[in-house]
Amino acid sequence: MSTAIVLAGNPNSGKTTLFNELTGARQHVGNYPGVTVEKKQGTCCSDFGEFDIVDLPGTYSLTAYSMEEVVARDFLVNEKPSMIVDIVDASNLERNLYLAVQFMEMGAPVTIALNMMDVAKKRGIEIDHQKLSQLLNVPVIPTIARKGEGKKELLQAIKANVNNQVEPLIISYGQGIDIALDKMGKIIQASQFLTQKYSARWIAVKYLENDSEIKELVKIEDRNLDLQLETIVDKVTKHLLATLDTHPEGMIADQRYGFINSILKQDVIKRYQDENRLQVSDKIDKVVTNRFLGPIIMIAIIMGLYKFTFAYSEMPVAWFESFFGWLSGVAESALPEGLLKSLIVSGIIDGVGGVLGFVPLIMFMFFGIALLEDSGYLARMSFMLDRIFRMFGLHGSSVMAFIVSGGIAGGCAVPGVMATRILKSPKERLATLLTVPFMNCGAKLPVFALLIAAFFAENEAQMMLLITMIAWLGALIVAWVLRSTVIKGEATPFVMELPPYRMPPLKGILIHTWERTWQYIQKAGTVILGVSIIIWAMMTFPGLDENQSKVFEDQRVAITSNTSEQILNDIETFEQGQLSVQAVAVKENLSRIDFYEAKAGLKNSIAGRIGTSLESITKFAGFDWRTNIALVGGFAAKEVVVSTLGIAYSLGEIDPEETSSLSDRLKSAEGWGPLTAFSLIIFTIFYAPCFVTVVCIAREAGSWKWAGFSVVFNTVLAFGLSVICYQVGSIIM
Amino acid sequence: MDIVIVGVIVAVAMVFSLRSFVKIYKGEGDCSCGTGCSSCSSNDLCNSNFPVVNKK
Repeated sequence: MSTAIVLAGNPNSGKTTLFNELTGARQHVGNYPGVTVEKKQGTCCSDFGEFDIVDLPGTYSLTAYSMEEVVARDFLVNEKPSMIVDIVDASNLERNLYLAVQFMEMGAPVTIALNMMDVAKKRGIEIDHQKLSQLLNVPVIPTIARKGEGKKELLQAIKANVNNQVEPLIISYGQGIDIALDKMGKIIQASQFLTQKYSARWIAVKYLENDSEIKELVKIEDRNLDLQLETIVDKVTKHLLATLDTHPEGMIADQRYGFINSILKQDVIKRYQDENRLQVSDKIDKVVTNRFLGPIIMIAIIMGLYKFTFAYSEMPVAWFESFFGWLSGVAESALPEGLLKSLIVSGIIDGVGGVLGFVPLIMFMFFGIALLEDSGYLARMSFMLDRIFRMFGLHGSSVMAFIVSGGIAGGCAVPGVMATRILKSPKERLATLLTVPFMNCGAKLPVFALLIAAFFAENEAQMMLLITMIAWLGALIVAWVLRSTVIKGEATPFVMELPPYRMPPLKGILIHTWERTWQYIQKAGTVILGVSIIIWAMMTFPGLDENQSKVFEDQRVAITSNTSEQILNDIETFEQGQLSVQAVAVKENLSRIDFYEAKAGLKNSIAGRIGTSLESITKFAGFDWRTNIALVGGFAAKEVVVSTLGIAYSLGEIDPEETSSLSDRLKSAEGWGPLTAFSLIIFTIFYAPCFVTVVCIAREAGSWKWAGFSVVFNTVLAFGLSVICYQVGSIIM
Repeated sequence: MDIVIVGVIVAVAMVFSLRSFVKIYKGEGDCSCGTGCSSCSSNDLCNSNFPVVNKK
């Protein structure tokens, strides 16, 4: 039989790393707080038995101040795991033990994993874990989750202590509070309210801590009990304010820290360096988060990342393009003329190949992001952007959701929407989840890369930085408008923990990079492939009817009937360079007819008709019917914009020898130029989120109304901005 | 023959895509965000225990 254990602990204490080590999973690990926003489950088979492991979101306390805390507490109470493994950051022992103490107060079975022992050692901190274990009366196992050290000992300790009887820890919170707790405990016990789940004293403590969830429950279920408890709370609050100028929750926290300190002072912890000495991280932060230097460094880092990505991916991207061009050429010459050939060449190779061609660029971008993430720099970005975010009605915690969504091009809006769960205020959360889709996710990246390569090849990194800035600015302005109108509400304060800088292990970065790149490839081979085939069919059928085809056939007959047999044979037999001037002219005329026939067929197709019907409106933004189809397809997934353009320009292609890349095709296509490309970039940044994001917005917001709002509002905004760009640009240029 | 093979491929693509989108809608899929999804590998991504925004 397996043993149910949960991993709990403060944010950024290494829970997910330990979870991965124990279960062999590859859950994402980041050097910033709040990586785990939902519980994750896994199994660990070891010499000590089988363990069902749940990784809970990081929390500082068990009082319902945020959703993570509610989730963690509800899970512990409802699921009653056999053991809570509290992962404690050994380099921040005092603060981390605060949560451990709360578990012990609940009467839950706890094993402490004293993690990051290497970091503590580097900081000159030595911990006597045996003494700590003895004083707390719980097993304490030193671990270095990153290296897998202490894993066995931890499992062994869990197995050995899993059936031990645990008595709730009782801490004295001072005479005033202790008396109040006794009185409240008796009243709660007498009413039997929630006592099957929690101890009466614990409920009383939560009442004094102003726990909204518990208070709400009591208020709804037993009004009389609520009144009695409130009377006691009011009395003790008044007394504490008058005598100590503090609230009960402040007093309780002080006493818990007092309890922890009393333990640590018994030679549990020794410091060989001056505690007040600035750590390396603090020294770096003095410069990196400096009010004036910080933003400059931040922009320089993002710019450096883009330069690195474009510079190093240029050659492999060209190889990929050449490969797909070659593959297309081989398929062209090997397959017989017909629908199947068109599907394979235009629908699959040119469609999906257009998306896969950017795999190297995506890989380099993810590598850079993984480096920033794991080093701890992204948390500094949140810290610096907090003030700006507050000016626009958002919260400091919103920054991480923005970054995850693609604040630095290459994220994903789905986990970005999920990351809004760390926001405590529902209104700030709603404003954030409605604006995170404006960030430049990894799916938009190939669209930008395609347009930049075609029209802004001289300034690739600068252009990418500009796109990033436009996305951030747009998102902040929209947030401000929403917070000033439909989602009005008070701002809540923001406190963020800055994790120390860490030298990210190369292996970890490479794993992250590969995982994300593989997801991109998988998506191209599944969803994008499926949608590309459908779009190919929509662009191919019903095609031209007999009468329409006859018009082109008649034109061909008119040309060939006036041309000698010899010239027609030469056109069939020889290469372009070996043909006479007359033969070249005939060949060009025939090609032109083929081109117009293909174009007429495309325009007459289902997708062509949809695109053309939208053209009367979208022409103001510079989009033709092909772009319209691509953008409609982009609702399924943004990469589809690239694959659809690939199909559209491949189906219109009439020279089988021509295997140029999509960016080259766009460059030479009619109606395209830097202005159209820029207008399309603006539209892509702001228009409706992809289907998956819309579903997640609906789930997170608890209403399809907001998901619908996101689709309609974003598309209208995107179109308005694109029209302004295109029209103003047309006047200027 | 060509039209039959193409018809089958297109039909399979339609069924696959539709199935994927229905799964996502029902919250059973992996959300298929594909790129940079740190937390997408979790099975219960869209069906978590978190309270929704307008619960209270």
